Amino acid sequence: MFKQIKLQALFIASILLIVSCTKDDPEEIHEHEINKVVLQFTNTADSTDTFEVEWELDHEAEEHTDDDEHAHEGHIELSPDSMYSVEAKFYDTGEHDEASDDHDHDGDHEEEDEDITPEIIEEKDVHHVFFEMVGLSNVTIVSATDDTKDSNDFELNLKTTWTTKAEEYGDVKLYLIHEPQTKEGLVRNDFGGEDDVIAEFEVHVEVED
Amino acid sequence: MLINTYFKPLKTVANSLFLLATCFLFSQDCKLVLEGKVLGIYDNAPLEAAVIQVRETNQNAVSLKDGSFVLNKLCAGKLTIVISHLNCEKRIEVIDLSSSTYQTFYMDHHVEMLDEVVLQKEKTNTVSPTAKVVALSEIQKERFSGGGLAKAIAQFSGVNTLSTGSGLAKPIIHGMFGSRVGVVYDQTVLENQQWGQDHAPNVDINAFDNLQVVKGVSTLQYSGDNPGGLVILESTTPMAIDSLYGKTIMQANHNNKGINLLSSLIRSYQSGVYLKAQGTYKDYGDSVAPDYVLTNTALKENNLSLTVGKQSTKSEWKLYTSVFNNEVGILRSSHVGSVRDLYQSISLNTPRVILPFSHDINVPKQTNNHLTTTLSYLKTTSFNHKWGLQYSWQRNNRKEFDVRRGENKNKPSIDLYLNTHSAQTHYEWTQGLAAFKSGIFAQVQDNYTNPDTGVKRLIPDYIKFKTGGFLTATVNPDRFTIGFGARYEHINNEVQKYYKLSRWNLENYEQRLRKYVTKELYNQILIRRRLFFNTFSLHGGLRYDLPNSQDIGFNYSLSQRAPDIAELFSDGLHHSLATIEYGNTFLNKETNHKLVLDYSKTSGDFQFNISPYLTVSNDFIVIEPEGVELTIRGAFPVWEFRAVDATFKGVDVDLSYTPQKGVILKNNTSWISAKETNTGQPLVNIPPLSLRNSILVSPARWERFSFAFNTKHVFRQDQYPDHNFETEIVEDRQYITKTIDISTPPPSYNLIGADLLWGPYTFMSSKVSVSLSIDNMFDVSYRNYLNRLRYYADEQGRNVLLQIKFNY
Repeated sequence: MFKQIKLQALFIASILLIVSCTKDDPEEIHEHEINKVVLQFTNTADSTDTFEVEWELDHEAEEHTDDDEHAHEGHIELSPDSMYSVEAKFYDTGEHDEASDDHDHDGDHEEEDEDITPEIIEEKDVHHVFFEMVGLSNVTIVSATDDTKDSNDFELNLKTTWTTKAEEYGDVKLYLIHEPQTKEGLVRNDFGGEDDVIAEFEVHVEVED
Repeated sequence: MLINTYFKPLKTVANSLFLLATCFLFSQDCKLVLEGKVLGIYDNAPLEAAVIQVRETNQNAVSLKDGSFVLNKLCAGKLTIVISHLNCEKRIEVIDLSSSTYQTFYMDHHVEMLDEVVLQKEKTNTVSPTAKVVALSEIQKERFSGGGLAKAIAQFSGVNTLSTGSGLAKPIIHGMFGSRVGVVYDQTVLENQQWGQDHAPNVDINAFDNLQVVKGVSTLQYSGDNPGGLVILESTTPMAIDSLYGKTIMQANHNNKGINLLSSLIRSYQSGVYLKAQGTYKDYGDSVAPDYVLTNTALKENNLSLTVGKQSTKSEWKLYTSVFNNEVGILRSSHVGSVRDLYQSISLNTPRVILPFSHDINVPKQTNNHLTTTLSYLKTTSFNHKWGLQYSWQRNNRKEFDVRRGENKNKPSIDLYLNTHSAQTHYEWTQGLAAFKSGIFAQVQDNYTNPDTGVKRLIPDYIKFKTGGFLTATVNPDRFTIGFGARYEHINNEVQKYYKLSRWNLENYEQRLRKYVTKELYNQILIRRRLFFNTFSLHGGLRYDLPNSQDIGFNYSLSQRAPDIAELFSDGLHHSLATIEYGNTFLNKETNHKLVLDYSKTSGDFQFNISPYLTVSNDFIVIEPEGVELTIRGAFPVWEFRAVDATFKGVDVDLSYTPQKGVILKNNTSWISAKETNTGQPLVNIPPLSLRNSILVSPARWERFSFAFNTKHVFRQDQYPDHNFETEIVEDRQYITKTIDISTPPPSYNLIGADLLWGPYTFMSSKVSVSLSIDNMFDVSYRNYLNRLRYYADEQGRNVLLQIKFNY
C-alpha cells in the first residue's frame, strides 16, 4: 500500500516537473531553391545592345487572391527583324533584404545571389530548358551554337538564339525540366519529366521610341 | 461453429458412458477426483466439448465452455488419460493418481481452416463487453503477414485502406482515418505521426499473437480520441511449463518477386519465466500492374522484437523491446513538379515513367524507423483485484525523400523525430456482478525536425504533455451486459512555428498571434505558443443475450478529439498531389457522437451480424481547396483545414451459411455515406459500397486440405465532393483553360481470388503447412478511389503467393 502511495507521489511530482518543460528556439531553415531566372540578351547585330531581364518569385507577391496568374512576369522588349543571343541563368537569391548586405544576419557579408546554373550544367543529362511561346507567331527560339550539350549531344537550350520579325506581343514561358523523357520535342508535353522552374516573360516586339 | 453441431449429441453419449462406467467400479479406494481444464496450446483459449477419457475404466467427461471438466470416483494408481477434440491431435497422458488432483491439459488446437472472422467472446470481454469486436484468425493473420497492418484488417466489413501506392496503406474504419484511428500494441498506443495520409502504421503485426479491431469508441482504457476505432495487437503470455517452440513462415510473391520471412522462438520455463524473440524480413521488388511495371514501388523491411517476462500466480512483469525499419519506394510517376505536370499525368492513361522491373528503391521514397521499449507489471491482490503499471518509450523517425538536385540529391525533405514517453497505472476490481477498471496516465512527447533537410518544416517542433484518467465499468445481471466508460485528457502543447511573412500578412495573423512572436527574420516570423485542450469521452453500451445464440447490442459513445499537429500547423507542398496544405491554428476540438446497433447470431448453420451505425460530428475537421499560391513551379492549389458539422451513416453486414458439413458460404458488405451536415456536400475519401463473397470448403475426407474461392466487388463511389480546379495550359501558342479533375472516382471493379491450404503435416519434429493464394486471378486493370496515387497508375495485377509454415 505504502509502495503504491510512494509511486503515485513520484508520478505526480514528475508530472509537475514535465509540465514546465520548454525547448530552445528551433533553428531557422533557409531553403535553397531557384527563385530567380535571368535572361541576358545581346543583339547579334550590335554587341553594345545588351540587357538583362529578370523573373523573380517575389515573396510579397507569392500569394494573391486575385486570379491574375501573370501578375509579375518579366518584361522583354525586342526590336523587330532582329537576332539576339540569349543566355539563361538560374539563381537562388536566398532570404535577405536586398537593401541589406548582411544576408544571413550573422554579421558577415555574403555573396549576392547564388548562381545555380553550374549545378544544372553538372547534371546536364537530366535537365533541359524549353521555351514555350504564347501568341508569338513570328518569333523563333533555337539552340545557340555555343550551347551546353549533354553526354548524348543534346543541347540544353541554356544558350539560345532568338529571331524576331514583325511587331507583335505575347508571352514566353521558360521551363526548366528535370529528368525529361526525351530532349527532343515541339511542345511541352513532348518532353515529359517534371517542371523545376516555370518563369513567365511578357514579350513586346516593337520599334523602339 | 462445427464444434457446436456436435456438442449436444456428444454430451449425451459421454454422459451415458459415464453412468455406465460407474457400475463397474471396484471396491478400492475409488473416491478420488480429477478435475481441470482443457486449453489450446498456442492461445490458452478454453476448448469446449473435448472428451477426457480414462482408458482403464472407460470413464468419460466432456469439457464445458470454459474448458473445465470433472472426473469423479477415480481409483488410485496409474491412469491413462486420453483427451480428444475435434480439430485437435489426440493427446494421451499417463498420470499416477494418489490424491484428488487439478490438471490442465493443453491441446494442439487447430483454428477452423480459412475462417476469416472469429468472434471471440471470451477474449473480447476484456476489450469491450458490449460492442462487437472482430479478430483475425491465426491463418488469416499469417496469410496477410506480408502486406502490413491495414491490408490485414481490410478483410473486415466496415474497414478499408487509404493507400499511397502499393507499399503504404493505413486503415479506414467506418469512414475515418489518420488520427481518428488508433493502433494499440500490448497496451501501448502507437505514436508515429499518424496524421499523415501517406503514413502507414510503423508496427509489425507478426510480433503479436492477436489482432482485434474495435470499430468506433467502445473502449476508453487506451484512448478517447479515436472516433474511427482501434486496432488492438496483443501478445499472449506463454504457459509456465518447460517448453521451446516457435514458428517460421516463408512467403514468396510472384508479382513483385518478393519474399517475406518471419520467425519466432519462445522459451518458457516452469518458473514462469519466458523469453520470446520474433523477427520479420521483407524484400519486394516493383509491383506490376497488368500492363506495365509500377516503377519504383519496391519495399524492404526488417523488424525484430524481444520480450522477457515472468508470470506467477500473483504477479507478472514484462520487458519488451522492438525495432521496426522499412524503406518504401513511391511510384516514380507520382512525383510531379507543377500543376501542368499533374494535368499531363492525369490525361495520360499510363504512368509517364516506366522502367524495367527492379528491386532498387530510388527517390521518391520513405524510410521509417520505430523503436519501442515497454516495461509492464501486473499484480493480483488478495481479493483477486489487479493493479498494473506500465511505462513505454517510443522513438520514431520518418524521412521522406523527394526528387532533388545537386548536393541535396540524397537529403530527405522531411526528417522528423518523435519521442514519446508514456506511463500508466491502472486498477481493476470487482464488486458483486460489476467489474471496474480505472487508471491514470501521463505522456510526454517531443517532435523535432532535423533542419539539415534544407526544406521548411512541414509540421513545427513541439513538446506535448498529456495526462488524464479513465474509468470503465461492466455489469452482468442475468442475460444483460451493461458497460460504461469515461475518460478525461488534458493536453498542454508548446509549439514553435515559423510563419512565412507573406502568409502572416495574408491571414492577418498579426492581430491574434502578435503576442506569441519571439523572433522576426526578414521574411519569417517565429512564434512560441502553448495550446491547451481538455477532452472528455464517454461510452455506454448494452448487450442482451437472446435465445438461439442471438444477441442484440446498443452502444453510444461521445468522443472528443483535439486537432492534431498537421491540422493546426501544416505548411508544405505535397509533391504527389501538387497541392500546398496549410493548417488552421484556431481549430477547436472535434466532438463525435456515435450510435451503433448490433444484432447477431453466433452459432448454427446460418449466422449473421448486422450493424447499422450513425455518427454525428461537431467541428469535424476537414481539408478543402481554398485558393491558389504561386511558386517557382507555377501556381498550386492551396488546401486549408476547417471545421464543419458532419454526419456519417453506415451499415456493416456479415453473413455465414453452412449448407452442409465442410462448406461455408460467407458475405461481408460495407456501406457508408458521409456528408457535411449543413450543405449536404459529401466528404472526400469515403469508401464506396463493397461486397465480399467467399466459399470455404473443408472436405471431410481430406483432413489436411481446404480451399476458398472469393470475390470482391467494389462499386464506383457516387458521392464525392467536387474539388476540381482550373489551370491554363498553352496549346497552339494560346492559353487554354483546362480543368484538373482530381475528384471523379474511378469505375467499379471486381476481383477474384482463391486460397488453397495443405497441412499440417508432420515433418521431423515440426508441423508443416503449405498454402497457395491467388489475388486478382484474372489480372484485372483497375483503380482504387482510396489510393491517393490513382491518378498515375493502375493497381497491382495478379499475384500468386506461396507460403510454407513450420511449427516447432
